[in-house]
Amino acid sequence: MLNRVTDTPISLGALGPFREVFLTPRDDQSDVDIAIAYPFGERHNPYGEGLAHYLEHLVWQSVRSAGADGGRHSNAWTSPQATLYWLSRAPDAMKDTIERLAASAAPLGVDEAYAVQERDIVQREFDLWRLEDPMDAAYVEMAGRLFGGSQYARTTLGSKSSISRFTLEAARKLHDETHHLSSAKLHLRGPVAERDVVRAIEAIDSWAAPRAEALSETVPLWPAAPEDVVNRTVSGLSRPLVVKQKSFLPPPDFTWTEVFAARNILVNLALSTKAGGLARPLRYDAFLAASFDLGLDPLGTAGLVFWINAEPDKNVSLNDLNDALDKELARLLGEPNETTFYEIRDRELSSLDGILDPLKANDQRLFASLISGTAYVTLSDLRAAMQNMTFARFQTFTHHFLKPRSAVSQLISVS
Amino acid sequence: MIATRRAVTCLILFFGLAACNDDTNRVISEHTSPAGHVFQLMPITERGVTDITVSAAWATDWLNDPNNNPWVPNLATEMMISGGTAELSPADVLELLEDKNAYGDIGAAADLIYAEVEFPNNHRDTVVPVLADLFQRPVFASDWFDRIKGQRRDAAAVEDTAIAFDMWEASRYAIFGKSAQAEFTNGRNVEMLDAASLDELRVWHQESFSHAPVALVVTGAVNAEDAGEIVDALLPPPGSAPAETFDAVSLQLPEKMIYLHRPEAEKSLIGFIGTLPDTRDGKDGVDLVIANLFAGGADSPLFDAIRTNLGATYGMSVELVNYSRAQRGVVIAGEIDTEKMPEARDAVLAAYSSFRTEPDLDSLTDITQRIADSIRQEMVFVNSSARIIRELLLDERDPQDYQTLPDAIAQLDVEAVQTRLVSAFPDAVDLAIFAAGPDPSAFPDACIITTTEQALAC
Repeated sequence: MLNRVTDTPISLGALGPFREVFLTPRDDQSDVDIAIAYPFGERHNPYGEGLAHYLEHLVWQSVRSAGADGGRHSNAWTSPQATLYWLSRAPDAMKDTIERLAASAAPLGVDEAYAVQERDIVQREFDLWRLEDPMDAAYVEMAGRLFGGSQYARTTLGSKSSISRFTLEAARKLHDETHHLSSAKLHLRGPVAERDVVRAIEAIDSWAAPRAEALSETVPLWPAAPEDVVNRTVSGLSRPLVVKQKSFLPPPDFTWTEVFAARNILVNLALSTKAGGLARPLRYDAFLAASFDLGLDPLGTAGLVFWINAEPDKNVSLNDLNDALDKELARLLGEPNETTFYEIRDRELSSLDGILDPLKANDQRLFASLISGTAYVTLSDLRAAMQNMTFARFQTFTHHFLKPRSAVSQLISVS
Repeated sequence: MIATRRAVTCLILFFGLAACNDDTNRVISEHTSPAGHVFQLMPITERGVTDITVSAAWATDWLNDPNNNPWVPNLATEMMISGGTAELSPADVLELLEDKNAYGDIGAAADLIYAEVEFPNNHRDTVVPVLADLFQRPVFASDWFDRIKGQRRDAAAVEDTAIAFDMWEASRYAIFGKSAQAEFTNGRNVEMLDAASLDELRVWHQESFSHAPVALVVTGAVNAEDAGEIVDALLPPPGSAPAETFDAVSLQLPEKMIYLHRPEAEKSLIGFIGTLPDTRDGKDGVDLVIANLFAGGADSPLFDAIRTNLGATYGMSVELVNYSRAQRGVVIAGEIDTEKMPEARDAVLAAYSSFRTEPDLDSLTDITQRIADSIRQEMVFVNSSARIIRELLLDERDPQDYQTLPDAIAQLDVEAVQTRLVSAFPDAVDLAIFAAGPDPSAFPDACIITTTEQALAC
């Protein structure tokens, strides 16, 4: 195998019909994992909620069963922002594997009977992941309030009733509008060389042609809305809960690399027991929250959502905990602790330096970005952004999160 | 000649592990610390490796005594790891460990107590004394204890739990009876939880670590002398008394299918449990291959039977379960379309039976190679390596088997798999069947229950 030494996946640029092809050379595995990712997910779907995921099931059936072998090591994922199909086979089957994955853009080859059966399977998948989650309805309602009924409020699985209304005809329409090879990215990982990938793609003489105009890859923004506080009662929970979510546009003049660097510092600072963190005032010094967790997650590349879940400690009311969360979050974001900022930043840098296999870590970052439709930031870029992050710049970042585009808090009692 | 051979070995390792800084890299050897702890050491001198892992296990007989409260092991381990030290509050300990990129973990099983710590070598002098305090001199403070008990009580008292949770709880009552092991594993007995006291935690702590560990491993950026010092600093001196062991009863699988009837449930589940031999026979790697052959991914016999052909489920899984080291089982389970439950039960049993006696092993090389690849990738890590060696010791195997583990899996042949299938995996008729859902009418011969404890009478 003749590959340059690299600690990041290699971009081969636009190749064949694909928008971009990536190769992660790995000699520590015997097979080649190949994925094709389309930049369309549930947020792009103009039809019934969850149809993008149902479509993925139907397409995956074609991909995995197209040949005599290879179906065993296959999978597919749908996210709000993207759809991805994956096959893992021997290196000498690389050309055939790419062809099979590219056939995900060919007209759907399933019949009506199969489509009906697979709709039932999607119902079982809903049963598995969501039916008995006591918080499911609360989160669905929360997304509705946070995103004002826009495409951003949609769940990838849909609902029991929306699933029951899926049709093969609608799935075909969505397929034609989203599965275009010209927008797809191909990702290969395994014991193969760049030139073999290029040759394999060049040896394929026929590709699926588009049958309809593609949907827009950009999803219109959700409406702005003031904070909404809702009381709710849920059964099946062990403890009452305060759940807060706030949406934001990306901070202006920040690259996504900077956003991820500052986000990592902010989240770790918030969870920290250090001065300025939330752990001591909420959980250790005062027994206000028995436990809490938080995060700041990208919405594709359109914005971010901050969330915090906290369980009140004994004899603490939901209102008191909610007030304490508001007060501590305002302090965290408005006046972050400078000393702690540098300590956390240095700890994060040290943690990045301790990654034993940067190529594997970068490969996982790329794969995650393809699935989630978020920006791909390499470890070295992330490290540089973190290293260059001054306290003043970090403050600009945290102050941005004092003004949400929309916000909702749920005070959840246990029935 | 010797020098040449060493150079060739180094070249191979260089491509595989970017290593070969010296002759001790990944060489496993047994040592005795100054205080008398016997441990296995595997230095890792590869570029970029700075961490040290200490992984240990102690035998425990706590659940043998019916007077012992089965909540105590889990409460005590949580208090040990999160309760702070005499000098440092819980928050201070957390902050220090995070700052130094270190962690400590302690957990209890029915038959063993596991502990693991990891820290970078350059922070050893700061971190080890704190971890030693957590481990040897835990602060069993009443306010922290009340908080932990409160959280566990609320979780145990939830009535409206998922039916999968309840179905498996019923299975444990059916298998273990109203025993300390069932209460320990289920963690739902609120009265016992309320009765647990700090004094009992102290007794458990004193009894549990008064004898030598049954497995003690040090891996990473460390030499033998330093490893001995670390072990002696972390652990109390090894007691001379032999460790008492857990009386593991054989799994008593119910002959009748047990159906947990939940009229309001909107879905159904089915699970099958069969017994497997103790891992000390050294064949659990073959079991892993077999589980993957039967149920790993699309096109597997189980997937074909239950999803492709019957359309009854999103997917079913096969797991190898250790209730304790000597109490092993294979578990097949999944969510099933309520209307297809009887067909699903029959399809799983037929697929399993056919696979057990006439397996299609066309995928064997593919599966063994993938599992071997994944073990090799895991062995790169300092803590994973320590765990693998610890498990070999607990299975009374030669720790040197660590070096050949992936190759041994990759080299498994058809005969080895076929032999293991018929010698170790139970016949389909010997699988216990558990189900839960809204409609038991399709199973007139099943033992129908409405609460998990009713499984005791099935």
